[in-house]
Amino acid sequence: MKRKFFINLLFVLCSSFNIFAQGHGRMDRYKVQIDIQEAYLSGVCIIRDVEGLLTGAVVNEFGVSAVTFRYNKTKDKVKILSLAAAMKRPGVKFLLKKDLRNIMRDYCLSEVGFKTVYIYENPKYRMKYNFTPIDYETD
Amino acid sequence: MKRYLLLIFIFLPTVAFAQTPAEKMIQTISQAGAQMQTLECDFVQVKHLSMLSEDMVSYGKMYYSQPDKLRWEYTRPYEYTFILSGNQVLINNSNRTDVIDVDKNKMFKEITRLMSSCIVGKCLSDEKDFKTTIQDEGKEWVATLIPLKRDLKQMWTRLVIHFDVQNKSVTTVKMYETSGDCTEIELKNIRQNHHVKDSVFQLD
Repeated sequence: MKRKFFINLLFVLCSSFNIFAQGHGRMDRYKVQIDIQEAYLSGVCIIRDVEGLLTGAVVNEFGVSAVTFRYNKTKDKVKILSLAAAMKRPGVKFLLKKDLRNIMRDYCLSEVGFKTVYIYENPKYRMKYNFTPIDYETD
Repeated sequence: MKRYLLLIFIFLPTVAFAQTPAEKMIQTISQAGAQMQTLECDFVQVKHLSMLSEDMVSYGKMYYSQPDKLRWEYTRPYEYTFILSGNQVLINNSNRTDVIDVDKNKMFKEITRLMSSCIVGKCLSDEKDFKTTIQDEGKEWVATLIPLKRDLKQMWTRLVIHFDVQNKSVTTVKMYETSGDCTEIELKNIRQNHHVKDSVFQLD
């Protein structure tokens, strides 16, 4: 009886630890610049990888969120979670989904994220994404 | 009857023009803002991302000179400079530098107007942009601004501005976004009416 209790307790503890670990995952931070034809958007991109489910956010320098997204590594699918009002224009969401999927594929392929400058170009729409790793202080 | 009418006429102006404590605080802040010629400070910006349960901290320096000169500079962990000088804005990041004519760009005109008016506390009496309430919390006066314009509403649910009671200047600005994220900017080492070099606002 006692043995069964301790096994159960151990199981609960291990599960809790696993949940805790899943909640954190790996976190990478980049200085990002997205050139969209003549215009551009710059800021910081944070990507958190929790067991193949990547959540990302692009925030401009003043702290205003531009886009948040989720990439499912297994399904190879990007879901745009939120988009700044100024970016809610026809085709932008679709374009971002497509480009971010390719970028996240490359990110996952490297297994350690982008450790040097990463550039992705979409020549059809004259878009260029530039990711530069930064050391970000967190609380 | 005549006596009553006389009393009403005597006290009417007092009643009509009596200021509420909130109105007094706003007026005091506006007066202090109008007297402020320059402002120089360090700032710490903390962005809370609800989606990632993460706080991002950035540091920088800010310079302001009446009526329309502002330098907002992030120094770490990234370098980014925003300079407003008259009707021109310079944006410089590590990759590129752009100079924008504010008069030709409605969005930038709004941003720069909002930044300047928040620094001097003008935004508190801006009834077109915000519905404002203000509380006396001892050492601080805390103003809550609810956006009224559509463009502002799309970005923020509310702005909370903390003022130091002693010198009536802004100490903290909290911006609550519609997404649930929040950005807090704390101003530190504030120096008012000290000489600020013109070169700080140069656009080249």
